[in-house]
Amino acid sequence: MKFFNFHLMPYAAADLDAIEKNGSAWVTFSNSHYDPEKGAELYHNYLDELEYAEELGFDGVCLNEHHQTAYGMMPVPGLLAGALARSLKKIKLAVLGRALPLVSNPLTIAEEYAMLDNLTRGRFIAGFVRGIGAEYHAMGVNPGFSHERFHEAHDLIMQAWTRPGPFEFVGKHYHMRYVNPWPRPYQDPHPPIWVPSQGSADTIKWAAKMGYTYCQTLSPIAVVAGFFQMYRDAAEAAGKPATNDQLAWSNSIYIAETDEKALREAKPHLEALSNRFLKMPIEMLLPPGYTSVESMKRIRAAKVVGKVQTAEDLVNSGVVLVGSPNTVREKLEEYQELAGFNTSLTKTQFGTMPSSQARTNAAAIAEEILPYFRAKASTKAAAE
Amino acid sequence: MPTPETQHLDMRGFRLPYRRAGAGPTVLFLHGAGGSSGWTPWHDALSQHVDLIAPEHPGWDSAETPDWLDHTTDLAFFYLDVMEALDLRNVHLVGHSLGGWTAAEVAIRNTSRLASLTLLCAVGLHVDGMLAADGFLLQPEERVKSLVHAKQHQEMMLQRAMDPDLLDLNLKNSQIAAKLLWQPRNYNPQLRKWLHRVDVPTLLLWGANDQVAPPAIADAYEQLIPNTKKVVLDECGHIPPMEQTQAFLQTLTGFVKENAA
Repeated sequence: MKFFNFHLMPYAAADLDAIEKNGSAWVTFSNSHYDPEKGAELYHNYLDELEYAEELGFDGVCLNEHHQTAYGMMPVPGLLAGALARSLKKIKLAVLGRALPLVSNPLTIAEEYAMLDNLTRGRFIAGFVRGIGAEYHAMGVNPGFSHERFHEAHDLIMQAWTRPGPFEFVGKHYHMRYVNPWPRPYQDPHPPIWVPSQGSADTIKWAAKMGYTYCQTLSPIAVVAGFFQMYRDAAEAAGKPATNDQLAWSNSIYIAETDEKALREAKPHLEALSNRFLKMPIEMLLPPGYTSVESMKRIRAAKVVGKVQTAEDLVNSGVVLVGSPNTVREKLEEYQELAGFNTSLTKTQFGTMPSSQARTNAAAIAEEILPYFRAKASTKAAAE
Repeated sequence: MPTPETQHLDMRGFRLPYRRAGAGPTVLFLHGAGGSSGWTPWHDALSQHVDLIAPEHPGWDSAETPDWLDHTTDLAFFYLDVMEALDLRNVHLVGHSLGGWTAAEVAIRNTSRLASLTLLCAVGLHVDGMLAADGFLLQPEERVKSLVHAKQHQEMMLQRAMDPDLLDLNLKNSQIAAKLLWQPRNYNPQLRKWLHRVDVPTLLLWGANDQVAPPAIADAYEQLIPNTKKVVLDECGHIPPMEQTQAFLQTLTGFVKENAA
């Protein structure tokens, strides 16, 4: 199994009561709550943590994009990726991902990703997402055209990377007289494409058909297993059987000497993430048109949006892994067998967790968890 | 009078559902983003005075969602086609909210089939400094408060919003509504440039307490359209036919009669 260190870069200094009072950390939570001194400190701590991940032996690091929120301070992930492209010398660098429908000219993303691929000499992974519903409120982009714009932007970027320019691109939303971006990607024909999603069936099936790596965000492991099976079935149906290398599970891991200690230490930060930073009303999460009427009905019936979750709930349902090294190894092994994935996108810092604690956690994971799964993978490879 | 049957008009592969009843001057009523509400007592009352045509917009209620509907101007061209297909003449075009915006877009393009225009709590224009309620972000209770003024109407609407069939219908309607209203939010920046072309008598009928289309929008239409009459109803939010039924009916039928050919 490969381990990527995924950072959300939360504004960990946020006043959690103020978020609670506002009802959400997104869109309407006033940026007067942002303290630049504290924010600057956090940016540097977080970048240090990701650089430390290379030292510790992680296989890569991941960034993502969100707007107008204390949940994550990365409206422009490419900027931080640019900083890391110089400091990381060996491991992969993934942006998971840019939200394609939010831009009026997707060529800017083709350009940015190609630059990162050149800077890393081919260690870049290109993530494509639609962005969550809140982004459409924050960025003034019509959710009713989200699917259309995503697919059209994807086609434009892929053509820009693979067809010799200049050529003309005419779509419904994007009209480019000249498509001829410099630089071209370093990797031939282009960087690997990874597609993170909350579990939209359309997205899963599309990623499978295209042979793109599918990344499942924060979900109970049983649900993840269902989504990964949907991916394998769709890949099979498309005549391109998938391997578990194409499936990545996004989780949080926290370890300490004992299960009790680990839970006690992780609890406030997990709950800050789950019940403060992530919380938003359904109107914000799923604006009309972002998802189909049928999906909306299913989500409404399931009544899961906005439910308060304790750290214990998150651990028991297998959204996160918290415990002693032994417990986490066993659980992760069990989850890997249950769901079938060969990449773990692991947050070692989450919620309000201070950097010192996050670094201790990352180091412990590197020492106690990574070698076990690495040995297992090489034994398996040798046996085959 | 019994509820008229829903008829369908075939428009190049798209079937437009509409109801029609009454005699006298023809009123074509374009409903708002919330949907047609079917045929209600006020539709019935209005049809005692006029020949009322009440369509369900493409994408709303029982209508299919056509591929060509991306913008409010598409809806405007569509209704120009509809008036032609039904060979309607001397039409009193009435539009509520999004329907009012659509009616204004119709009127800047072609008034040759119109006798008058009524914008009822219409959106479509932006007014500097005006901050309208965000119907896409407000949660149900706050949303209802932003829509109607009196407490008893708010409670009625909230209760009705719990009806499972209506919940499903609202999911469908909000999808197409978002497509037309999301960005720029509730307006077309180009519309104000051409409102001088509206050469039929225009009634601006508004709720004084409208938070979705604040009365400042009525003032802006009044400045931009040459021949207007503005009536602002007290104790009234965004839905005058429900909140001030009698005043709405009297003002509208009076205006239609004044301007009947």
